[in-house]
Amino acid sequence: MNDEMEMQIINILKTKLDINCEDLSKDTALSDLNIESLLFIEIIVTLETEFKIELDDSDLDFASYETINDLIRVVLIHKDQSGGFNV
Amino acid sequence: MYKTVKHQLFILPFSGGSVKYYNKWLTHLNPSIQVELIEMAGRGIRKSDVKYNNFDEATLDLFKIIKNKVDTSNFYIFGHSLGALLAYEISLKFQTEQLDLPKAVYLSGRTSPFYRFHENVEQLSSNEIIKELQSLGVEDIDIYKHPRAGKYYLSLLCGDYNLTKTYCKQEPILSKVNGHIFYGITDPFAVDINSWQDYFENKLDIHCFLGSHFYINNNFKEIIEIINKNIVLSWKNKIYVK
Repeated sequence: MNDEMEMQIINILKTKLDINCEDLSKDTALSDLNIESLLFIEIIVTLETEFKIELDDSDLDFASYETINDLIRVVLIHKDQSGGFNV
Repeated sequence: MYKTVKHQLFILPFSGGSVKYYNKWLTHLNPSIQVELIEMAGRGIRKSDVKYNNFDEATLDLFKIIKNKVDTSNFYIFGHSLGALLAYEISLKFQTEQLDLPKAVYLSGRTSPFYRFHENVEQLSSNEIIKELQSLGVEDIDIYKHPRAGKYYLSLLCGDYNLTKTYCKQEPILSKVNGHIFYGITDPFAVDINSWQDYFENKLDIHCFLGSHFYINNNFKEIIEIINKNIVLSWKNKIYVK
């Protein structure tokens, strides 16, 4: 289930950034993707909608993320807290 | 046989900003300069660290971090706006602690400690703060207007403004460090920029650029060129080793 979510998150990034999946992995540094803070917030809002979660305010700080895996981890934590996955 | 001299440049963040803003500087700085981006507690990768209660706590925390990372006598500190005040105060800590001093401090976008700003920030509405940011030329103004994140980013900014309110400089303490001042010609926070001379023993180098508070966005390459020349050429980056 985590693998599915990871793929979903990477797909969302691919769409938002208009790049190929092959170019993205969990270890990709966000600084390599030329993401501005506003685009990052749009990504966050999309993730919140897709996974039916609400991140903490401190999770909105783009500077606190180094890699895509950091983003995946935050989504997984909030998904767990929200009571599991939708089937 | 020649040995390359190592230089360390410590960079501090500005109000409301992450020090990651300076990532774009890295490829332009001379390769002999090791850059250390120093984040404040409660921000970025230090978001879990407890935020500062006052300016002195920030100075002490960042001073300790820099002191522990210094591993050459050729180290320098850069700061813009809030970062400029911090850079100045941190360099004074090295002086009062009788440690090796930074070779220079680069203070950008802020006049001397004599002048105080944002004393009444709690009375300003979000719209008023955003309007001010717009006039200052902030790069990502839309983040402050965003319905999901705007309130949070404004809180980061106001938190830093409140930090500066706790900064109190009764009398200038003369810094023995070489000082370089950079500022935008229409920056309201750079009034009487020459007043910085009251805080330094040595004559300052003062560089003026077109632009307001965030002149730094469009002039960073020129700033870096000055820093590169100051650090590298003045130390002739190779010394002879027997």
